[in-house]
Amino acid sequence: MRLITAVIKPHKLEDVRAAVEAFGVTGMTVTEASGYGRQKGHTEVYRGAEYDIALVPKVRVEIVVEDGDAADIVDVIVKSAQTGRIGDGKVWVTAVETVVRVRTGDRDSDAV
Amino acid sequence: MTGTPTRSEQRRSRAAGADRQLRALWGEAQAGLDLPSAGAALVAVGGYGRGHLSPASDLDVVLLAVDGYDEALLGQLAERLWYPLWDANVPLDHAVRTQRQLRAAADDDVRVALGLLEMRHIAGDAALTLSSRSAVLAQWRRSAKRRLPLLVDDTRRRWAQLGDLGHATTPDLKESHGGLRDVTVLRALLASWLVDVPAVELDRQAIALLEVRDALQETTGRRTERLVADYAAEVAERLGLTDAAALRARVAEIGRGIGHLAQVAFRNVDWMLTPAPAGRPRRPVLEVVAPGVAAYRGEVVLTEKAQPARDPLLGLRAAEAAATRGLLLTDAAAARLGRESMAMPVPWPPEARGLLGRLLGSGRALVDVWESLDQYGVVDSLLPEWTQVRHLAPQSSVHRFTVDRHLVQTCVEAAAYVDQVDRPDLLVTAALLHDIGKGGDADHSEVGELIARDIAGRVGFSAKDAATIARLVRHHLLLVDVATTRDLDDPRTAAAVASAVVDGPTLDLLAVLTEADALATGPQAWSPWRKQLVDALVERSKRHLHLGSQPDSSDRQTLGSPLLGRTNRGVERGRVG
Repeated sequence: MRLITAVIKPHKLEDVRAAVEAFGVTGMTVTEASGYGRQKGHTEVYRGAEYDIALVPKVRVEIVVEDGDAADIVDVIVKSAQTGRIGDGKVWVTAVETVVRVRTGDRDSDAV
Repeated sequence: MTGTPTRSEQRRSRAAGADRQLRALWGEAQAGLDLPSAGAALVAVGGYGRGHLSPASDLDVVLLAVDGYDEALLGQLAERLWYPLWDANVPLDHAVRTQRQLRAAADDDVRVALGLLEMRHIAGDAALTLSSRSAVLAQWRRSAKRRLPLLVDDTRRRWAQLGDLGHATTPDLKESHGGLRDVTVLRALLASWLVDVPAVELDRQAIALLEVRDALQETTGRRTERLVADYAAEVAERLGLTDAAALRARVAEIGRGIGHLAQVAFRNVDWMLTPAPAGRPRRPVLEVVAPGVAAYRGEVVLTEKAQPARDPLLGLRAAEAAATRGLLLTDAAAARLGRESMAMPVPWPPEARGLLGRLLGSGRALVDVWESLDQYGVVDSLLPEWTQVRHLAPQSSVHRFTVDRHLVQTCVEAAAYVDQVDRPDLLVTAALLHDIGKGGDADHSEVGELIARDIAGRVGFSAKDAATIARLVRHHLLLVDVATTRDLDDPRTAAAVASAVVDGPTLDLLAVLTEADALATGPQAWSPWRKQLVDALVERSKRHLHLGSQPDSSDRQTLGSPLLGRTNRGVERGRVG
């Protein structure tokens, strides 16, 4: 099992959700998040005005998937979250030891 | 008489059954321990003391003994009473006290004192119970002036924490404002002899609320006090009500009734315990604050010259006078206004519109004043559309209040900004009306826009102002929706918002309305994350309007496209209105 974590721009959430749902993913956890990456302290120019933003609002999406699906789903997320501009976010994958569905006690593949 | 016993009869019969069980245990213990006939008694306290037991209630009992009673014997007696009950899984809340300890406990903890005020003899030395009860009552009355302010503060803190039974989305039948805990507090006030409480009305409301609580506990099979939405339909059915909405209306009505009795009683406590100004006699002084309206003992009353039947502005004048001074409207005044007021001419005269604006912008005091107006039908006569949202449960769990209370709370939150906007009257009117379109299947913003325009016209706003109010209602979710789902870096996003709000002053009003709406909704609705996104969008939209950029044709297309108007689950989580 793998945990895919994606930190993306808030307005891309709906596109990501639709794309992974189309892939067959049935659930996700979404959290409001704030952060920065390489654009740390970047000055964004908007119609001649400058804004200094330290922590930028993002959403954090977490999905637990089968090992074999992880790479494809990461691709789907990256493609659907991409605007090509700085601050598009990150996606990373971590190994998951066990998953249990609380209601039934099902484990691992049955619980995803 | 035959037939199914009522819940009230069942509560009494449960208590009588528990009494019999305890007396039997006492009898066995007395025989086994060769107990002296005097010096110890078993008493029921709290709700059980009043002779009522709900399906999942604890048996609240105290084993009482005279001072100097044989401690070892008392311990053995307690064991012989409690163990069989524990073995039988009877939920027990017990204490063992001598008379001196009893008085100390009552003096130490006001909650203990409240429970003991309802003390009832079960078994043993009846004279001991009687003298202990008299002592507790006498002590309560002696110390009332010292303790009532603490009790009142404590209760008000609880209300602030847990909200109103009549307006909360998940009401706590016991601890909410207007709940069963308030009934106990009011009975204690009554027992203090310092203030009066309409006891018959209190009993009527308390029994009605116990009915709901019993039906809830029958449904859950547990000691549940929170009426969560999942149980509402079954509880309603058990009470013979048509559906969950009818149950909500019933609970709201009871909660408002009990809450109101508590408010009035507490005001009397406040007044009673406020020292008279030095050198001035303590006698009632009527201070006339507006034609036909006077302030008296922290409340607003109608003067003898008031003529509701010939003075259509009187209700608004009284309400405005009360709310802007942080006072309450007396029941008598609200009732008379509801009964006798003549209809407001349409369109409303400018003075009436001004009064409404100041009333809605008065801040926290609006809540109680509006409640009084609503209880006695004054709101219905001014705003018949209010019926649609009264007691209406919100769709989203993010909301802490019913829709009507949420609208009032939005005005309260918006009131903090009335000095910072050009047209506070438009702001607070839109705050009051922003969800007026709820209650049907159609998009409430669209429905609300039409209703708000009608109301604004009736209230006498110019066509331009009415259009602004309608636009604010139509777009009250726009900023949060767009900020959380659209690319703020894309100039078309700000352009689309600018095009929807039309001008800078409207954008300022919408920004404040958005924040007030979110704050009134609940803590989750206005996170720093959300605020940051909305602020950024407002700033950019403002700049767009300021720079005079007219949205080009592609911007307008975007605004009208399904993309901007779409509703998605991601947005729905955070939508507040």
